[in-house]
Amino acid sequence: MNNESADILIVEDNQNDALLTIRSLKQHNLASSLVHVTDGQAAVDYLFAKGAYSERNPLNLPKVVLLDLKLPKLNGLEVLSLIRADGRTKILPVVVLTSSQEESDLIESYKLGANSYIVKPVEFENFSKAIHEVGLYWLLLNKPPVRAISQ
Amino acid sequence: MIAQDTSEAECLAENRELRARLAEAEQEWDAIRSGGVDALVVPVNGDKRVFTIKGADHAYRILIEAMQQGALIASAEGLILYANRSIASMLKAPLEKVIGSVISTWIAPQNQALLNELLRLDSGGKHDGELLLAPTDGTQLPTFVSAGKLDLSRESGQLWMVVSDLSEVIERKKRDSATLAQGLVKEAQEDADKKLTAAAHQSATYMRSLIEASLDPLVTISTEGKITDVNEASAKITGRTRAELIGTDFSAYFTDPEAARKGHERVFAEGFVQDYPLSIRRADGHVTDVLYNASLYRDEQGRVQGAFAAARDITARKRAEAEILKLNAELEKRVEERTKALAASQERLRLAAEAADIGFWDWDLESNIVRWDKLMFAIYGMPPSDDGLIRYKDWTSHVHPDDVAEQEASLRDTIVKAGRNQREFRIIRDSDDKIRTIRASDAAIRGEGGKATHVVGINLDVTETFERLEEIRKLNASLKNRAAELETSVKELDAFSYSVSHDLRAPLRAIDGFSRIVEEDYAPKLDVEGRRLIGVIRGEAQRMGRLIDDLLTFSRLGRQKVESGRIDMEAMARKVFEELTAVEPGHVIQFNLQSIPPAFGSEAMIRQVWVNLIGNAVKFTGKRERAEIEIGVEPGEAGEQVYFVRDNGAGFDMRYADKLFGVFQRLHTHEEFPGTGVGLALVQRIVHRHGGRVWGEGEIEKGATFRFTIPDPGKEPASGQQPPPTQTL
Repeated sequence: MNNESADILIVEDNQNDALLTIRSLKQHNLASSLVHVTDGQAAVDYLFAKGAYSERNPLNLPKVVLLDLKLPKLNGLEVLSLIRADGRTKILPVVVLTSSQEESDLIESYKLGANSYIVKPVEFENFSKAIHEVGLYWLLLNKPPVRAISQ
Repeated sequence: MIAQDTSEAECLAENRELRARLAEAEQEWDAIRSGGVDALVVPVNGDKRVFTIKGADHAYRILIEAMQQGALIASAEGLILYANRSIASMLKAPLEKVIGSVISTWIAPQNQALLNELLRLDSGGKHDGELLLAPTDGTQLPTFVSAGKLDLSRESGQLWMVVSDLSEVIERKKRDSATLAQGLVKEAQEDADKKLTAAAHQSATYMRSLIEASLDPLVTISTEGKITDVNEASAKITGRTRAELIGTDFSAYFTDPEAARKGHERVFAEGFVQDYPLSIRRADGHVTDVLYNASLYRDEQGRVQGAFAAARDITARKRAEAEILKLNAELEKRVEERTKALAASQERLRLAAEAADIGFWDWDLESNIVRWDKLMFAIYGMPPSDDGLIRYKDWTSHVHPDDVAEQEASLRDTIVKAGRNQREFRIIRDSDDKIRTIRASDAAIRGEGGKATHVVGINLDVTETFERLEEIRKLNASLKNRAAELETSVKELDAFSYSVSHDLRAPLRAIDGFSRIVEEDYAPKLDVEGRRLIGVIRGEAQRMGRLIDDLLTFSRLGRQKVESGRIDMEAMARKVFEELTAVEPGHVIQFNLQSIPPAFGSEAMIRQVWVNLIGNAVKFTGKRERAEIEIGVEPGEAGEQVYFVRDNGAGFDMRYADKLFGVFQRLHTHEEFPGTGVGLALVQRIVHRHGGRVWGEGEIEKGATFRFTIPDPGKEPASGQQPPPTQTL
């Protein structure tokens, strides 16, 4: 499991939110290839093939990262800035998926180079719809830059 | 005739004078001797003589030609009619070329103006002085000139001129020292003496002329005190003819004959008198103050013949002295007047100071005397001394011990810099030992050389003012603390709402999400009631989500900056209304939007005001068949713009009007009209943050009117100008 490569990296400490997210993706057949990590450090380790993920090929990057902001160890904004600071992941699509409606969080995320900022709706239907649209867009419609980076 | 130790300048001046007189003498002599011209005007010490000479023209010319001095006569237009050989040689030009030429040709450029003055002299006018000639070799020749206008009927307007070469004197002066100059003078003097002697031998008129030429009254007195000779000036000053004077007792012409006789005696006793003051009485009674210098004169064998006395008219000097005395008196009078004026203004100042409780002090640094006025004593609670005198240490002993050093230093600074200072210090009042706060100003008064000679100052008891200030300071400090505390609690609230935003929403999402999962995955196992209950769970979870969202919006307002910009209120209200009613096409509302003026404020916030007010109006008219909403502006009590939103909806009971704007306060049940109870609280918060007011009026089932003001911050740009960019967060 530690060395698998996936299309979606979900960074979410709340197991319930993660479950709802994965369920929504599954309902729309978008969850065939995903990895879920529960803190910021794990996310960084995964992306750069370090620590528990040292056996992984770092060139195999996900098509999209769904990143929560409030995370143990490294928080979402710190993870985002590390992603943008590294040449390999500089243009990796990152979607901030958070409960925070704070404008400061939103602005900071975009400043650090988030591709999208989505506030998790409380209503499950809306939540599910949002997850579906994110998955659809980034996995199927968007032309990923990953290959370009690998070369 | 000259003292050995005469200075160089004096020697030169004397030399010049001697030469001038020599020139005159020679002219006179020549004139008298020759008789070859019709007339010759000879200047004698500011006076002039006209000699009319008849006879041998030729002989006169020979004499003039023989003169060392240059001589010429020019027409009023400046054409040289006659010139002698000497002047031709001075000009280094042939005589034929000089005669008939224009005189200005021969005068140096810097003396052309002088020449013009000479040519313009009145008939009989005369001038003595230096003149630079311009010889043909391009040099400049310094000369002494005597010139004048003939005033004979035939030749009136003609200019005559006699010049003596000074170049030699000046050249040698340049080369050499004063001794040389003195030598020159001596030489010139000897020359003059020789010539004068010769002249005297030639004609007795010469000596006579010199004596006559003197403006000072000269007299010779015999040993017995009888006048033996006088000059014209003596005749003039006594108002008697020469004939009348000669042979009479000299003392008779003085106001104090006794003093005159004493002077005479002294001459014979001591050989001379100097600056002996006497007053001459003229025949008509006019008195002239004079100073006499007199000495003995002897014959060739050295026998005393009598006294030679020269008087000097000192009327002018006396007049000047009198004038000075008069001026002094006037000055004194003016000083007195000014002193009085000063005293008056000081009195006014004193009265003003008294009224303002300001004490004055004065420290004479030279005599080290310190004086206080009565108010100073009053301020320090001390009995006033009779003369206001006080010792310096009496002041320092009353100054608060902690303040003494600083105050003395400040005072020293005033003295050393001869400047001024303002200070505040405490004193211990003598009468009640109370500590008082004094505000003081002092200033140094500068004497000659800019050093301080006096220090003056004022003291003012500002204890009450000071105490009031202290109170205000304390109040301000506590207000500051309070503000800081409030800021802290606002920050805490921010942190709180941030965690609310994150942490309260997540479980709600889980409740809703998992309820939904139960609905989806366990639907066959649930009966109708089970599904209804799950629906209730989900509904409440979602409502709580909205409550949290509204609450967050509300709390966020507290820390948002109001970014002010110009807002088109009419367009905004219209757009908000259209957006709110688009979702409910079935609800028909008669919307009446008047023309309303723009406002200044945060676009996002003001938009929220419209959203909530219009939203309420739409919501509460939802049960009306003919819903009406009106938006407009009316003038307020202070003339300000009052925006209003009026509807004919459910309205409210005015008894609860004070609860309208409270958070979570609702006047309707959720079943009647859904809502979180935050909307109007939000409106109030926004309006207050813009410095405005908001209030509502209503009647149950008749409708409600909400009014608000957004004051113009006074920064509204003139119409036509670009409004500042609005920024929304």
